[in-house]
Amino acid sequence: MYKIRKATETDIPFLIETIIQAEKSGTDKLGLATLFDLSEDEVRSNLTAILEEEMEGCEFSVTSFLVAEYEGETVAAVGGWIEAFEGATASATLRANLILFTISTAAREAIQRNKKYVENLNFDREPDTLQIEYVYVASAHRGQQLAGQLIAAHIKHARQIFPSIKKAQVQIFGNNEKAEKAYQKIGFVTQKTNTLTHADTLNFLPHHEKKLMELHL
Amino acid sequence: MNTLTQLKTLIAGELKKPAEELDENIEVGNISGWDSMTHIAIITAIEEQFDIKFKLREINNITNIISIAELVEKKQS
Repeated sequence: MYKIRKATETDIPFLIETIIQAEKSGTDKLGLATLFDLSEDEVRSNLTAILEEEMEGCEFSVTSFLVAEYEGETVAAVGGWIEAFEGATASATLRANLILFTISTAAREAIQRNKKYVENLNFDREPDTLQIEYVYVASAHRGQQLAGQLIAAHIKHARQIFPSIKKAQVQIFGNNEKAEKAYQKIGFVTQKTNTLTHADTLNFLPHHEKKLMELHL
Repeated sequence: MNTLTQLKTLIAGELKKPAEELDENIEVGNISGWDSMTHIAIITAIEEQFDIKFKLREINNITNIISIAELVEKKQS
């Protein structure tokens, strides 16, 4: 029997796995490592510090996650928050601030060098929309519609705190056809695609395309 | 050159757009091109140019370019 609940600090190791696997999008390219010239272990350590900081309103926040638990073990997680809700700071700014304060000077220099390969790939997040980010289900528990249930729980929660919410948005890498189909199954529609043409982008990221999908609530 | 003008020049350079196109009153997250990667580059460049170091809670309180200018001046005083 699966139990859906809000994530807590004890889930941090699973949330880090969620973030890393989602960022890799089925490849071995972890942008949080490649762009900052960090190892995956360094990324894990930075993410621990970031999540312990607990800054609401962005994807790097424990309280943004809902998790599914099975026999006391966390087996799935989905992040979600209402963007810039009630005048809050944009999540891109919060995310960047959290990264800034956990990386070294060398990592800052690396991102200065490398950002040209990934600029303009992500879509600006629309204020007052439910943003879904970082979806991961442990392999032994796939096929149980856990991701769908967690997204539905995010939507229900978002409606409770913001009844006039109009839509949910998710951004996925262009290579993630499985995710695109799963989102389509629950009503998301692909709205736009951003494509980068720089030959070196694939040295840093899983794919040179990002898709914006929306669900009208 | 005052702090605000210096900041606008620096930020415009990072965003690759003319300084006169930057509205210092708009929330930084709503300035076209100001994504998380650019934010890191801008904050790093500001710290270097003005020889200051921001704290996380200070940088989280930034709303627009005017608030950055006020913070820079406060850190320098």
